Formats: sequence, C-alpha cells, structure tokens
Amino acid sequence: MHISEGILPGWLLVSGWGLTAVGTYLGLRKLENREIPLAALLAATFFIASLIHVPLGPTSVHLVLNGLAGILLGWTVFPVILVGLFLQAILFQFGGITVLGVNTFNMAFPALIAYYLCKGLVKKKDAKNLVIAGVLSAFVAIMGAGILVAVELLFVGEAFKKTAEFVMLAHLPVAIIESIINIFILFFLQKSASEILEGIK
Amino acid sequence: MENKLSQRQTLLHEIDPRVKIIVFLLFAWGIALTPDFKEALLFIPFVGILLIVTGKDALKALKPLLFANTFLIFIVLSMIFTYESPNMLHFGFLSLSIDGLKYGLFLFLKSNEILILMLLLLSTSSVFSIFHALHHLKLPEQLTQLLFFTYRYIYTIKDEYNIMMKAAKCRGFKPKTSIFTYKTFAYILGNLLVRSYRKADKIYKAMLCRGFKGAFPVYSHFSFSTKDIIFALLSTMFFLVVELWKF
Repeated sequence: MHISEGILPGWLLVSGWGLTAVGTYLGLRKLENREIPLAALLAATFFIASLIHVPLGPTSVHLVLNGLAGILLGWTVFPVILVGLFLQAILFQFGGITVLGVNTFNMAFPALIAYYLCKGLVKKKDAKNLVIAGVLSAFVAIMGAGILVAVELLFVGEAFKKTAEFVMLAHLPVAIIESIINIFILFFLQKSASEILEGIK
Repeated sequence: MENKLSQRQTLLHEIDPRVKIIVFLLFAWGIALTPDFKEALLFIPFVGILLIVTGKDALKALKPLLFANTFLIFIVLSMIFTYESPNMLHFGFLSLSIDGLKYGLFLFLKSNEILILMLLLLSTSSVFSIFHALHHLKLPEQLTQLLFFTYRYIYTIKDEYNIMMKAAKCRGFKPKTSIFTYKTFAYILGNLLVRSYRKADKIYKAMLCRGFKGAFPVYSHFSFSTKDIIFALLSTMFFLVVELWKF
C-alpha cells in the first residue's frame, strides 16, 4: 500500500529517504554494469506484475511480489523498487516524491529479509524447501511491509490507530495469495530454468 | 504509459525540465512539511496559476487523480469515523468526528496539491527528458541507466504479457478465485522471468557490440532560456513569501 504525500511528519520522510539512500547505494555497489539490463528487465517484470489484479472472492488484489523480487535480486532490490515506485509516481500519480523514500524502504527492507531467509532454501531445490521459501518470502515481505506502514501511521498520532489496524488486516489476504503464487513460480523456475535459482548470489 | 500531458504544447512544456524538477521538489517538500491548514491553503494560488497556464487539458488529466488517490480517501474516511474528539455527531450507531473530518481534509488538501503539482510540472515533459534532467542533477549513473532501461522494457514485457494472456483466454481461461487461476498467473509470470533472464545477456552483448562503456551519450541538450529564469524566480519568490510571511 502506498502512503500518500502530505501525511507523514518531516522527520519520518527524511529518515525514509536516508535509509533508502543507504540501501540503494549498497544495492548499486553490488550491481555490475553487465547486470544492469537484467535488473531492469526484472524491474519491468515486477512492474507489470503489480498491474495484474487477481480475483479474490468478490474483489481483487494486485500482486506485489516483493518477496520474490528480494530472493532473485538480493540487495539490488532497493534500487529496483525505488525505480519502480518512481515510475508509478510520475506515470500514475500513485504515492509521491517526498514519501518515495519511506515507500521504497517499506517494500525493499522486508524483501531483503526474505532474501536472507530464503536463499538457502531455494538453492536446495527440493519441493518441501521451495514450498517453505514461497510461503516465508510472501509472508515476510508482505506482512513486513504492512507492519512498517502501520507503525509509520502510528507515529503520526493516536488518531491513526484504527487505520493502522485496517492496513495490517488488508495485507493478510495478499500475503496468502502471494504465497500460492510464489510457490508455483518457484516450481516453474526450478523445472524450466533451474540456472536462475542456482545463480542467486 | 507515456506522461499524460507530455504531448501538448503550453508554456509549462517549454520550461527546462531541470528547472521544473527543482521547483517541484521545493514546493513538494514545503507543502509536505506544512503544519497547519491555513498555510496549506496559501499554496492553492500557485497550483491554480499553473492549472490556468496549462489550460483545459490539465483538467482532463486531473480526472485519473481521483482514482489514484485511493489510500487517501481511505485515510479521510477512517479519520471521520475513528478520530477521538469531544466534537462528535451521532447518528444511531454511527458517530462522526468533526475534528477528524477537518484533519482528514487537511491531509487531503496537502496531498492533492503535491500530486497536482507533480502532474503539472513533471508530466509536461516526456519521461525520457525527465530522466535526462535527473542525470544532470547528479543522480548516480547506474541509477539513471536502470531508470532508462526499466522504462524501456516495461513495454516489451507488457507486450509479452498481453500475448500470453490472450493465448490463455483463447484456451478458455477465465480468472476466478481458484488455485487454477493463481497457478496460471504464476506460470505466466514465471515465463516472463525466464524470458527476461535469457534476454538480458543478449542485450548486454548487443550493447557491447555497439561500444557500450558504461555511459549513454545523449543527442539533445538542455539550455537555459529567459523563460526558465523568470519561471524559477517567480516560483521561488512565491514560495518564500508563503514560508516567511506566516500571515
């Protein structure tokens, strides 16, 4: 969920930009020139994935896939999500520029945790580990992002307590659906292009 | 997925994107950090003047803003129903908070001022010239390249996605809440990832063949004109008056 412009206090906006700048710097340092086209293609794939609405009962939710992005990209997930959210901001006016730092951190930091938790599991490549990695990455990355958004809203004031609870609840179905999708994607990658899973650094 | 306003020609389109980015950042931060309603209202004339300069096309482009603002509408509604204050209106089991409404509207105003400015200042240049301007404003080289490439590949990936979706629909696929639907989406995405992986290497090799050394040469260059200077000066003056005067 994108936090809009004008809601968070200045110190939070500035610290969000600070943390995102550090993450992006470290991510770019690990990104060699030859890997830039790959990072951009994956960024574009995740951008398109975020436009896909999958049905859920009477409504639909859009995919985030930041957990999967984390597993495949490692630290590069920071610049990739920064770029993706910047494009969403200037093309669709989703989110905004002053909150871009906070929004990027909310998505990328849990994705990075998912990377460290899951990369070992994914490399073992047997069915059980892939299922665990799929569920773990979706829950850590989606619920992590939900918790960060909720905590930031609580920082704004007590008035946002109910909103923060709604935000947490809204992330739960997305995490469940993304677990299922992650598992199938990981199985698919293992079957048809196992070099991708082996190539994870 | 080109910028909504970039195809038309108005005064704002002729301003140097570097100037527009700086002016936008100045106002965006200024508005975001505004503590009270009155000060937020003072920025409306600036937004209004830019809207008038852009003309009726801008109003058309503002329509999608309503849909883009879902998070904000959600916030305003939850403020009205959950903000604890002595000023409450009661309708049966519903209690509405007037202070909550005020606070919600304040956030709504700030947010939309920034979004409209973003639309007017950043969407009146082509996406590529915005990236180019960011390069001049010392954004790290690798990040600029990532921006260029990602924006370029969004179309490629979107095309491939559309083809695969069409193929799935031809075989009678209808998205529903079912494991089968999620599996189909997962396989389509998995396919996109695999194709991206295989394509990346070819692209890098093609770039090397054309003499890529880690930086892009650019063909068109920016130059400051009197218009840019006047626009920058007037905007900065407006900003300083609002920030320093404290009516």
